[in-house]
Amino acid sequence: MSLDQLIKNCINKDAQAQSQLYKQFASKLFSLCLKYSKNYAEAEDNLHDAFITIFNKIEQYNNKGSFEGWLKRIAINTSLQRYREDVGVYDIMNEDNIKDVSVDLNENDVSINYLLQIIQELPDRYRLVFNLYVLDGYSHVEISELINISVGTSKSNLARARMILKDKIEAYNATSNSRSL
Amino acid sequence: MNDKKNIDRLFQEKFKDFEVAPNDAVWERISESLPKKKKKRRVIALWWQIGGVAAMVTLLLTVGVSVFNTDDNQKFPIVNTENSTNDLNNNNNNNNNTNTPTKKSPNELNTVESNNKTQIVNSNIDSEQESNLNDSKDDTSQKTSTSKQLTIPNNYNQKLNSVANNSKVVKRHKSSQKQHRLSSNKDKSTKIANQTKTSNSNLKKNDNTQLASETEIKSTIKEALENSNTGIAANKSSENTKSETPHTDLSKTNKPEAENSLIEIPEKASIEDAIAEQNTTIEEEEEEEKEDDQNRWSIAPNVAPVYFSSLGAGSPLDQQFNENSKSSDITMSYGIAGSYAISKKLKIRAGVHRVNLSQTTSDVYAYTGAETAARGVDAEFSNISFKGGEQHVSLISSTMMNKASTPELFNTKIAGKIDQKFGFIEVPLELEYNLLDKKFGINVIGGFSTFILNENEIYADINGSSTLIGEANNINTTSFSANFGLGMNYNLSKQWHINLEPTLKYQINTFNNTTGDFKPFFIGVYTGLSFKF
Repeated sequence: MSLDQLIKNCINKDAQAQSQLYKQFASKLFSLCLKYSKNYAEAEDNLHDAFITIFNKIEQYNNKGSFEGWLKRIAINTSLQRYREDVGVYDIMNEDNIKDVSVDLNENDVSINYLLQIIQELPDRYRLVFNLYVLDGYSHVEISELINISVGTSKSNLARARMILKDKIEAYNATSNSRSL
Repeated sequence: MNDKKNIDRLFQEKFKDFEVAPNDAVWERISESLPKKKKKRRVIALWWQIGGVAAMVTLLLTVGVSVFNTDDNQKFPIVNTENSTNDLNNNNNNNNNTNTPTKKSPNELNTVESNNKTQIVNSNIDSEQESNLNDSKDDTSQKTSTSKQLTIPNNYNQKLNSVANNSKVVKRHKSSQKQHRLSSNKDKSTKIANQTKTSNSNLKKNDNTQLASETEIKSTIKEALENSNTGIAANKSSENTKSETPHTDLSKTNKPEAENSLIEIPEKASIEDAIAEQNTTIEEEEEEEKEDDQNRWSIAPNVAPVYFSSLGAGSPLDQQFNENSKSSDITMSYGIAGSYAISKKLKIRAGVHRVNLSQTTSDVYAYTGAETAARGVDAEFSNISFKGGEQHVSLISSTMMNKASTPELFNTKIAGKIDQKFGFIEVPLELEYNLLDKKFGINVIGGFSTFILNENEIYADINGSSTLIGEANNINTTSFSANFGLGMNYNLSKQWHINLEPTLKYQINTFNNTTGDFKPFFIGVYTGLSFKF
């Protein structure tokens, strides 16, 4: 069944088509939800909410842009929704301090699970900004609109996130190196 | 190997192909939340529910009937066991009758009552006494103790030591007999003459041994016992000297008649008390259950215009009227109905209605008296019982007549009509299933009604005036109908509802001996105000 046909059947609330659509995209969207969420359970909740929105609004998909992109936007928006109401207060970093953060590491040694873990451990807004900007290609302007912060705040939050992540990766490397020694 | 890498690039590369399959439970939750089309399944579920309720009603009825039947059965076995255990009482009492016949009766009552009390409680055990050794022993020991307690004060009050001890002796004797069950039970059932001998001998032994063992018994009672023993011994010797046959006769004849009557009355009363108590406790439980769910009951007085008609061309009166045009006045039915909500969707309801029906058969000539005789018209109407003094009424359908060949008199007469009126007390039992349960509700109703005939009249136009000529004799005094209805209700408040229920009632055996294809039914639009509580 072509994707177009699958979408049509989903518009007609065909249970089998809905199940197939879920199977096809659940893994991709769940990884997205994991990045944007504090923990596994929250990611599951976001995935659930995202698919409910997808199935209820699938007729609004108008074939502009990729279907997968549409799905991802819904998943990201659903994840962001949680943080729009109460976004904590973060101190704004001086823009002078913002620079490329490099980290000294053996990339094969760092597991994806650890990277996910340290992303999830970030403060909520740092995590959102880092994900949006670095992993999902949003600009600071888009981010500022999405989560209702200023562009400066977005940049500042990104720099903070990078620093925290760098520290954690270096600490990880130190322990794994000492372990290997 | 340690390259200085941009942290963004590290994450981008690592997360490029990052996919994690979520738990299956997530999809289950999603699919449950999604709206689905399930219309077909709902219809099936509806029939299952209705079927289930019908099965439940049937089950309740059968259980109810069987419970009532077992109540009756229970009475007799208890009486029987009582008789068998009291056989010995009688024997011994009969023995002692010779000594103190006048003083016997009050004490016998005491023993009987005490027995009843214990035996009703342990009725099951009693009935299985012979099969269960241990049970019966316990039972009898209980009995003896209770009877002792009951009889001892009487002894003091009445100072009927010998008689009182008789009762005790009887109890002892019973217990001893149960201990010697194998031998003595056989004796009991087969050889009464022998039994009295052996049991009397047992009596002495067991009384003595048991008295010795039971320290709780007071010395006065001991003395009394000894006295009684000697008394019994005296009785026995005197009886033995006579002969065995009169003795057996006594025990056989006196026992069942006199004793049973004494036993049965208090026992039945006490059983009924026990049943009544049980019923009240059950009712209390039911009431508690009802209190949990509010507004399950409702009561609705209602009134309905009713139109009576028939599916086929036929007549309940006579074959010649089959083709006549028939009409029906719209009559009124009124009554009251109560309902109980089994579930949110389903109600069971019953009620009492008064319903009057009428049917008018047109184009009928009616003649009386001499006119009929002169014409030689056959006046045999098997379905009509003419009332006294009007026997000569004759009814002829105009469809039967050929204008050309009939006498002039007929042609000049104006055809009249027959009015048949009949009324019933209707007791409907129906189920009501809610299709829509909002401010405005829709439900379907199905069930049956029982009709009890209470009005039955036939009028005919005689000489231009409507006259009561008799009654139909083919209307069953009890008949039934199958009911189908569509109910609509409007909720005025939580408790008050207006109901409108067009209902078809197809009458099943209202008429016995109809002619043609006469399938009567009536349609009523039942309107009422129901009150939930």
